[in-house]
Parts: sequence; C-alpha cells; structure tokens
Amino acid sequence: METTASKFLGVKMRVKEVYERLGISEKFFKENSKTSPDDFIKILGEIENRIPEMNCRVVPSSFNPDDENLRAFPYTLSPSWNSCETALRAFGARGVMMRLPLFWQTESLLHSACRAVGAFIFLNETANMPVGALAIRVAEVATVVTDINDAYLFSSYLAENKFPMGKTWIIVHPIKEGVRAIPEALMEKGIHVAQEVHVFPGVPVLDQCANLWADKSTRFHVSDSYIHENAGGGLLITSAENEPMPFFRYHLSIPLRESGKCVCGKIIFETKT
Amino acid sequence: MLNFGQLQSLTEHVTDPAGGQFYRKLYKMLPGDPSLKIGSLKEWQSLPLVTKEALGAVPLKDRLFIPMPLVDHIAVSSGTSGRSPLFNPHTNERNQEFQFEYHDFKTPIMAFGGPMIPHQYERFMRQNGIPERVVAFDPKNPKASVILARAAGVDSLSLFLYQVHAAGEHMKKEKMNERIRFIDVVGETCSQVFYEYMRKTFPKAKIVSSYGAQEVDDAPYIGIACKPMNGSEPLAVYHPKKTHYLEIRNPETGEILEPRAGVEGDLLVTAYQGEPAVFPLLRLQIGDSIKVVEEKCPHGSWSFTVLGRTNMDFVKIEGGELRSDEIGRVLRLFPERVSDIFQLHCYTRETQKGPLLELVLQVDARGKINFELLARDIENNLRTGPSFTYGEGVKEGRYLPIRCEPLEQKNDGKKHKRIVVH
Repeated sequence: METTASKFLGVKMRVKEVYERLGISEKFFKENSKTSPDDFIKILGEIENRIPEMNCRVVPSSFNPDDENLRAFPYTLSPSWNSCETALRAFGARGVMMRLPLFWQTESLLHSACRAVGAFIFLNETANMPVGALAIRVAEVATVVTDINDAYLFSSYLAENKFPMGKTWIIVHPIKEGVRAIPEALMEKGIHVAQEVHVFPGVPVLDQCANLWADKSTRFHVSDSYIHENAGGGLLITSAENEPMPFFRYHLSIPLRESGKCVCGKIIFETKT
Repeated sequence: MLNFGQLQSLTEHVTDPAGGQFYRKLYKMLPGDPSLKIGSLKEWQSLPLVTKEALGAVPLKDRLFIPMPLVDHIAVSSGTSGRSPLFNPHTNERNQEFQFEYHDFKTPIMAFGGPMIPHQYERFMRQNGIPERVVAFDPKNPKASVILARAAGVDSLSLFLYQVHAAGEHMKKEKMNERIRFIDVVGETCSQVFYEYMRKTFPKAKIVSSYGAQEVDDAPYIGIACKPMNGSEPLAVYHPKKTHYLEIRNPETGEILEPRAGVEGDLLVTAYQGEPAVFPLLRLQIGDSIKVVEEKCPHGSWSFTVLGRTNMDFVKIEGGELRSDEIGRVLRLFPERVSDIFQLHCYTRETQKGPLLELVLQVDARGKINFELLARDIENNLRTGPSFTYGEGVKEGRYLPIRCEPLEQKNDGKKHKRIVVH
C-alpha cells in the first residue's frame, strides 16, 4: 500500500500502542528502528505468555517444523486470505486441493477463501501424491494450492504419471527460501498461476495482480495489508490493518528491486539476481 | 433417531425423478417411475443396501444432490482392498450441540481430521458465540503442532486414536499434558492399554470416544459418546445421532435384528441432517459389527459398542495405514518361502516409550523357513504410506518389530478375517 506521510504516522502510532500494551521492549519500536527477522522472533518469545488472552489464531513463525526458534505468531482471528481469494475468484475455482503442511495452520484460511467463491476444499497430505493426482482426475479438483518446492515435486509426479496438471496453481514462496521460478510444466498456456511470498505461513507480504499472473514471472506487489518503505538495504513493511501482532518496519529478508509501475498502478518488485 | 415418517419422506426425496439418480439406479427404478413410497418398516428393510463399492463406482459429481458450489469440502476414505480411495463430499456441519455435554469449547482446541477438521471446529465455535481458536494438529509434524498448541493455550484435543501417543509425548516435553481437560478420540477401537496411557498422560482430561465415517455428510459422527471412558468395559459406548437411523443386520441371514441388549450384528447407517444434504445416506453397510449395550441409554435411544470391522482390510496406524492388499503384495515378493495367505494380528503393547503397535503376521509357510528373517524382510518392504515402510517406523521407534508365525487358519476355502485388531 502506498500512502501519505501523515497516514503512515497514524499507522505507526497504532502499532506503537499495540506494542506498548503487549509490554514489548521500547527498543523494538523506536522512531527510526527497523525490525530484523531475528528481532521479531525475540519479540514473539517475549509475548508468548500473552497469546491465550489475545483474541487471535496462531501460525508458526517458521516454515520448517524442526526450526529450533519456531514460535507462535498471533494472527487475525477472522479467517482471511484475501490474495488467494482474489485468485480463486478470477480463475473460477470450484474444487481446491491444499497441499500445504498442516502445521502451517492455513487450512481454515484457505477454506474461508474457498467458501467465499463457492469452491470446496480438499486436504491432500503432501506425501500422498497418488491420492492428490486421483483427486484431479476424478473428484472435480482443478486448483492446487501449494509451496514452490512441492510445486516442482507434484507437477513432476503428475507429468510422469500422465495425470491432468490441473487448471490453476496458487504457489507460496516461503520468504526465507527466496523466490524460485515456477516449474516448466506450469508455464504451459492454459494453466493459471498466482504466486505469493509469505513471511510466515498464511501471511502473504508480496502478491500479484492479474497482470503479473499472466506473465508467470517472479515479480510482485507489496500486499495491501502493509505500508512499505524502500530503505536502500531492503524493503521495510508496517502493518496497515488492525492486527493482534503488527509488523513495525519489518525488514523483508529477500533481495528485491523496484521494477517500474504496473498497469494496475502499483509498484512492481522483482527478485535481485 | 429418525422415525418411520422421516424415513418415508427421505425415501421419496432420494428417488425424486428430478433429483440425484444414485438411488433410482440402485433400486432399479425405470425413467418414468414416480418417487418411491414405502408403506411399512418391512418395505424399508427390503431396500437394497449401499456399499462403499457402489459409492466408488459413481463419479463424485453424479452423487451430488445439491449444486457443486454448496459442497463445503471433500474428504477421502480408504477404499476396500485394491480399490481406489473414495472421495466423500460434505456440507456444513450441523446439529453438533450434543458436543457441549462433555466440554464447553471456550478455550482453544487442537484438532486434526476426526471427527471434525479445523475449519469445522472453527465454524462450530463461531456459530455458538465462542472465539474460534483451533490449532491444527499435523501428524507429520507433531512437535511443531504442540509448540503452537502450548502457546495458544490449548486445553482440549480432538484426534484419531493413533495420533494421541505422538501428541502426548510431545505435550509431556512441553509440560502441557496436565492442562488437557477434554479429549475426543475417533478411529480404531481403543484398547485397555491405550486407555491407561491416556489416563496417565492426561490425568485431568475427560476422555470420550466418538464413532464416525467420512461417508456421512456434514460432520461424520455415527455414534455419539454415551459416557466418558472410565476404564470399565466396554470402554467406548455410543448412541445414535438424532438425524440418523441405525439398524443391526444379521450377517448370515440378512435379517434386521431388534436392538436388545447383547445383540450383535453388522451396522447399517442412514444419515440425513436436513437440507442442504450433499448425499442423503440410506442403509450404508459401513463394514463394522456392533453389539447393543443398553436398550435404552440415558440419552433415550439404544446404545452400542463397536466390535470391529466385518471384513477388515485396512487398519489406520500412526503415520499411515496397513492394508491387506499391501501385505499380500509383500508376501508375493517371497514366493519360495510363503504363499500370500495370511492373518495379521494387531496388538497394542505397553512399553517404556508408551503404547506401541506390534504386528503378529501368521503366514502360510512353504516348508521350514526362518520366521525371524522373513519378518525383517517383510517389514522392510511393507509400506504404511506412499513413501514410508513399517521397517522405517520400527527404526524411528514408532512400532515394535513384526513377528511372524505359522498360520493357524489354513486355506480351507472359507472366508477368514485377514486383519484382527486385539
């Protein structure tokens, strides 16, 4: 979200209030401070005991289940995944297969997006590719929601075993792993692909509009939920909406560069190579 | 339970010429035939049964009684041996208020897929004015799930029985096992050993067992816990849901039996929770045998316990499932030592690591063979998941090693159970 300085100030004040209420050390929200990913994990550790009394859901702070620093990130209670919902609606999804790990806590978020567009959800454990493939063939499932690593594995499995590829893929790039180009099999004309970069599972910070979906490249916009600052050394985001645990000048750990303005009016960011 | 008048209306509804065609085909009705009107319970009892095979033979879209956009989710259930899994459509869960008998749901719950998946719990809580705080349990990543559960303040669990051990061990490490005050388990029949484990691990928990199947629309409950488990046998006693009609069938004669205390037979399930119903289920032969416990339980209906599967050809275990067709495949890898005739006995053994699964595989040996060596060869080839073997599970400490022994029941031409859960 691009915004005026005065609006930005208002947002920062609101974030500051939340941090103060949660008893977060002042050093994390001083006027010109940045929040590094490591600092944010420390903050999550500080507020963990407050979570049961917060009106929130939790998602993990890591995409890796074995991460020693895995913490709970308090996230909005009302299940929403707006960017996914937009893509599902645009591509006319009817049956949606979720192949994201269950511990990511994205099932309810995706289900909510599905119901908003009149689609059903089907959970497919990532290891169980035969059943996932069968769902595409016989169970009216034509949309796959997965992460970039699984997109490679599952699309290869479908191709090798001569299953239909599915009409639509919504692909999550975990920010810590950087952004990779999508598999060749999904470049085929007729397959729609929407990509997002998540800072934590279910928390998109970079997404795409219809123009960016169309070229299937790894170019993104900053999600509408955040105000961003391009601070030379990288992109800083601040939560624009009321969140139980907002980001304050959070440094996105991914090398991005501005790449002009999109037809939709937003700034395009692409991965630095 | 549904009454006869409701069964009459239901039969008419599912055979309406303008509606879904599944039952019209099953009942061999002709294109111009009007909807079926049954005049007596005897006529109802003569209606053909629905089987999983019959459901699996019809494409999902042709099984729907409502437009596709009203389908909430689909869930997969294991097909019978050698057959494809069955994709079951579901609408919104309804009529779930019975769940408040044992728990208030005011605090976060950790749930997997049985009886309800996380979004269903969220909706159930929201509909009842409770903040929808649910942590999804990931059986592949129990440690990460439990870390989140601890942080969220989870104090109740809804899991498959075979997942409770993994969750319990991680909860002990996170020192949160003693805060658990409610557990709803579903899945395989609970053994006394496993009940003792749950009692010891979760000393403050009220433990109930629910009985369900994914073929049932809305939330897949068939049997509602009649009482919490307290260690006395039968451990799990159920009564029917008010939107269901359960029948007991003599497996040899096909006769429908009166639900008198002690009567045993195969269970038939009719489930209809009102509209929208994605697939009204009439007389499904679920594949379980049951025994009536009380003719009138405190909830006003007859109650029952589940004895086991009638033709068990798979059993769900931690990290996957054991399938009889897979066991047959593995045995055929060693034709010089055994035939593919077997009987598998599943036991839950108490160990220092908690209750673990032990398999005793009775095999039809060809001459004198080394059973110990055969057992190792089998477990290293026996898949419990698409990319996981039983042997890998043994190495990880999930299961006890397989024991092989000579088959007691020889191939005498009669049908014997291939998997027996003790």
